[in-house]
Amino acid sequence: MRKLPPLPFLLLFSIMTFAQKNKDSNIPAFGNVIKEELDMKECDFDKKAEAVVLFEKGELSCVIAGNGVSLELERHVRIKILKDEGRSASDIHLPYYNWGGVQSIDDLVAQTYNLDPSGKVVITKVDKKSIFEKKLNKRITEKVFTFPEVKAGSIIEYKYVLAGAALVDWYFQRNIPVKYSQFAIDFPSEIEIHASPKCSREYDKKISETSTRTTQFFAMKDVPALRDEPYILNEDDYMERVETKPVAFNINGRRESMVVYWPKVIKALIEDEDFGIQLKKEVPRTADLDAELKIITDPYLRMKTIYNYVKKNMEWNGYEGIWAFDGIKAAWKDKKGTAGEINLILVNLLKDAGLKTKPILVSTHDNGLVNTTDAGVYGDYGYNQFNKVLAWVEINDRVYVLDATSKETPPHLIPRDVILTEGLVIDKVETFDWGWKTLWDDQAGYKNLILINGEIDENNKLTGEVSINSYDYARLDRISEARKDKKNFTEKYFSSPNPGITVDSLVFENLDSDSMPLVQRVYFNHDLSASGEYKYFTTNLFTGLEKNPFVADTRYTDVFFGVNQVYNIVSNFSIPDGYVFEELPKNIKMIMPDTSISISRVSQANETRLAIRILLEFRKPFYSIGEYPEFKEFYKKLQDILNEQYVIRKKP
Amino acid sequence: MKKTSKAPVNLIITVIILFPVYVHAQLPIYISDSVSSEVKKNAAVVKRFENIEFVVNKPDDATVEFHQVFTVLNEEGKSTLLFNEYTSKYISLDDVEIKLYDAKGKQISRYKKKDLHTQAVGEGLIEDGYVTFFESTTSTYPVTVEYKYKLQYTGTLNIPDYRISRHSEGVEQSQFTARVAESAGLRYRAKNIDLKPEITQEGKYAVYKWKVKNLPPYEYEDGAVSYEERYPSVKMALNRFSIYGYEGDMSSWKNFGAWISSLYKGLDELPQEKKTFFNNLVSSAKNDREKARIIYEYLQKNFRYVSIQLGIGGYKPFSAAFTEQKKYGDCKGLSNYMKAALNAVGVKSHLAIINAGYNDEPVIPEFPSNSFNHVILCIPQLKDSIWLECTSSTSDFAELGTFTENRYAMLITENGGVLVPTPSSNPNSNKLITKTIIEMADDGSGESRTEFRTSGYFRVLMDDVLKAKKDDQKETLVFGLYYKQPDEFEFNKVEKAGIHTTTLAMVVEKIPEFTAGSKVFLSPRLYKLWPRKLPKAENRRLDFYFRQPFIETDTTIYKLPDGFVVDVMPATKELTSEYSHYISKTWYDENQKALINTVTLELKKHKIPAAKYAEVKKFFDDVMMNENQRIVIKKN
Repeated sequence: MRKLPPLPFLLLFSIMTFAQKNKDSNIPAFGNVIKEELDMKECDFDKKAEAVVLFEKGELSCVIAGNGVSLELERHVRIKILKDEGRSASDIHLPYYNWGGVQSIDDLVAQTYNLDPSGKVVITKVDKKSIFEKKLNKRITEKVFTFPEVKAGSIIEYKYVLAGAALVDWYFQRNIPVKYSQFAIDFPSEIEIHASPKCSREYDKKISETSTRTTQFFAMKDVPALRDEPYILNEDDYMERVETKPVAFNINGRRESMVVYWPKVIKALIEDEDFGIQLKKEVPRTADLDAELKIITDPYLRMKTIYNYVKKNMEWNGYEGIWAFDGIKAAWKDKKGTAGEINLILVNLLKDAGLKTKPILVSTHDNGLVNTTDAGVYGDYGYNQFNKVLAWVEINDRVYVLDATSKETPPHLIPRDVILTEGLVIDKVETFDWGWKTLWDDQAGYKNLILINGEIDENNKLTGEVSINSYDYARLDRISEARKDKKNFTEKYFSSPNPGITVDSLVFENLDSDSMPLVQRVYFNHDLSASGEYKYFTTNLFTGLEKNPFVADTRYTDVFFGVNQVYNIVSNFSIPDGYVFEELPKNIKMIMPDTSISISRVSQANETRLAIRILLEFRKPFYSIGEYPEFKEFYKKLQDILNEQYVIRKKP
Repeated sequence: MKKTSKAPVNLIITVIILFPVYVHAQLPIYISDSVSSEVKKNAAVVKRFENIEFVVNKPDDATVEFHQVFTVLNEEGKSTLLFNEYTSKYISLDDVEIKLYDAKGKQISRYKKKDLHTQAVGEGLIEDGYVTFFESTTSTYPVTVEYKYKLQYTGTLNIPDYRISRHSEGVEQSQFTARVAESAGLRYRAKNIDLKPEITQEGKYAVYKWKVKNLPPYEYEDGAVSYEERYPSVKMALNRFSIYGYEGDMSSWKNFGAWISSLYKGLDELPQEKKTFFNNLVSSAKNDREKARIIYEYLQKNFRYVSIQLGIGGYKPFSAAFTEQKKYGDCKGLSNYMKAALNAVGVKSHLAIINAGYNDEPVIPEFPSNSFNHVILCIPQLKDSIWLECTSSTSDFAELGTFTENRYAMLITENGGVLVPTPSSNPNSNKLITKTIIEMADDGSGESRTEFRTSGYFRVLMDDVLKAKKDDQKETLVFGLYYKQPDEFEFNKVEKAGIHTTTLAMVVEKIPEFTAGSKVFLSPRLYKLWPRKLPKAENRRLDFYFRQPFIETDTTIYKLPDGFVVDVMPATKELTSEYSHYISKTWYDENQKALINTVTLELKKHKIPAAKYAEVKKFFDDVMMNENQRIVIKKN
């Protein structure tokens, strides 16, 4: 939920003057398709592509309509269909905001191009009757259509004007490759728009100014398609794009900067009825809490008590945001509220109890990274970058970050969805107690201690017990599902990654304690594979490391684990009389050149028993694209080590 | 005297009317603890109370009123807290009330229609219809939810069935009343339950009353029949129905087919030049089958499937002329176009209305109803009629696949609807024949070359891999087929007539699965023939569905480096069940200095009766076990 810009900002537009739009020549005119494009058989920088955007053009401009001024986005797209599967690129959905007639899509034209047997270009138009209006919900409607006469080889083209557009960010990248994409922002000189390219590839930038207008122009060539990748922080943050915002007005020769700095934003927040003011209100009817707190003196326990109290009493209605639009009193009465309401209640109560607490604004991984140097502009303050407010509590020298909407997170862990991001602590500007904090704790990680005890009998059967002790984030990862559905849990963590093994039962321990590891005791049996007098088995059982997710050779985004990881696997196996161990896999220690990942394995066997100890540690939560080749190679070897089997043989 | 004796009764009624909430709060159905243990065992949800009143005044005027109370016992039953109703131009939702009660039966919250969200539905390009939904949230269980709402129908082609229970849901008491004007004529059929209605007559209405008490929950079973067919229900159909103002008769397949036929009437005419075009296209074809094949392949290349379902357009196709102009259409439009094209070259065909899905059951011949959601085409032949799936650009000609095989289709003929069986699935339609030669070096590294010859499901899979980007190809090989992660690989198509052929060449750092000292353990093949266990067989109530029957044959040849000899070779193994067969052989060929392994795995039918499932599961477990055997070689 964003706050709307204040009225004066909107009114400012009405005194702007309008100038002629400048035309550019990089883009062919609508309908001007040449035979070479139709003869094209593949995308030169992505031979497998099923379709390619030949060009996409966007022009955002200020236009005068009557007494008012509004924004208009003209969009023009041409796509080449290369393969049969690419035909679905001709299903077009154009959503727009239809509530109160704010936006409309005008002048929509669309047509298909094909070559006839004689080599002539044949045009088939999308007729008006075949363009449908689909009302998605109260606010959003979309224009829906598909192109006629589309086959591999066809070109489709459409163009329209979105009237009443907002200032938009432009994405060069799509799920199919783009040969050329350009974006122009054409504004009267009275309004200064700042456009910041967030690009990892080369792009073109031109600025042209007349006495009355400024046009900023961006273009990118040969943009590869996006690919789904595992362990990605947020796809949007990796898209090639240009972000835009208004930064200043020039009125009668005077430049009025619209840019604001964080102190101003923080001051506004502190004075805001829906934020700072709420922290001064008293949360009513908390006698039961007060009674509980009366007998607790330890500050950590006081914090924990309040945190659990809010979690127990407040239910999250699913809405994010930093605001308490309905006020914390009303939310408290309803026992239900937005993330903003719930956590402002939390901050309020913690402060009341004398704990050093401040609200901290955060942006979850799903919401995307925050630009700490951009505090926004008048009318669109930088707080709009954040989607949650949490409690920042300092006790002695330790910091706690609390989110009362995240029911399972214990107070000593930073909530998983914001870990390794930058948060903004809000406090009085004069005190300098406000500022940016990296949400990271070296001590907490994803930790699994896995103890395996197995016994192999005469009949090739391995029977055993594995006890998985999940600490901190490993516990957090599993706890909700463990509580919810044991059957699904068994399937997801044990049966499905270990096909061939029968899970007889599963017992949980510490299900209701958030300071103890979640213990999962798995009792299993497994008919061992045998060849002649040999039997063999893996010790990579129920570890969560059964499969290597990083097999792709190319990586387009950074690998984001978010936390450090430790796997400590200790196994013991006994073998039946009359059997001996074949040569054991070598004891080994392997470490990444930058020392960030290490694995060691030590095996020991006597006549009847085998003991193996594997320690795998990840000391880095994040790998950049540049580090990927090394990382991937390491992962492959790591998988080989984990999956090496142990062999026993019948004594002759 | 009479008056005074009646007074208390009146008083009670008044109290109930004045204090409905108060009275409800006292009722045990709102109190979680009062659930009887019989229906609670293994339940995530208990339907405490249900009363459904279905009234049909006329074919274009019907209502259903629901009053339901569910106790959700734990998180697993959470989906019951989601209210979710489909609405469209002919179904509207009024008077919704949702209430939530805590474990003690105290009302926590109450929502009305304005609190609900409405969103357009449909996976297609554009479809009619909305869902109205609301999810009650709770932090503790058990919790009780009460729904009261009403649906208004102006079209009755599809009417609500009586859905009695679902998995993990026990039922304490439930009642469904259908009050149907004689002119509409209700038919019904109980499924997965032996339940008969009490029937009475009230004026021009026939009144049917079904009652259910204390039904324990069913367990969820993987790989079963489509969801609607799994649990107890009573299916309903009207003899006379209406939809978007079109009235029809469903008392027999013949009449229902005649109604559909009327919607299609006159829509299968092509322009003259297109007729000529098709005649030229098939001029060299020797028979009807060949003509059909040529036109079908033309259709696959030049037309595409797009779903546009608006109003009666959900049932009535675009005309063949329109489809010709656009080169797109939905299942009706494309089948209708194919019919028109065949007609132009003198081949007669019928549209075939069908229910699609690999695990969908055939419609019941004695119970005409609209359980259909798809249209295909049938070209009658003296023997083995030709069936065409017109929406797929990848299907083989005249191969339907399990999507529409093994059931009945309603053919639309001049004489109305005729129910006929579609072909039975045949394992020969889905073949995977692989041959791999592996050259291994001393250090275990090696190169492999595989040829895949495929049909049906496997051909489509190979085509998908061919089209994919290199890293996606690699992921399919490693995650989908369980190949070892290659260091380099090439996947290519071999252009030749006959069966679809592709090749895979790989360079692998370590060919062996593992080594123990001087012993080297080789997998019988580089991928996994049968990678996972089937779901458990104990207490199986429902038939099990595989995706399709198939035959897989593999030959893997290891060329051993000099100095290596065979230590252990797996023995020949043959496994058989009524529905499947497996045989694996390994031998050493002195001349080639090669280890050769062959295997055949066949699944004869894709639907396994519940009673036979344990046997089939054991078969596949044994296959997996046998496939885990390793060939042991060592350096001499």
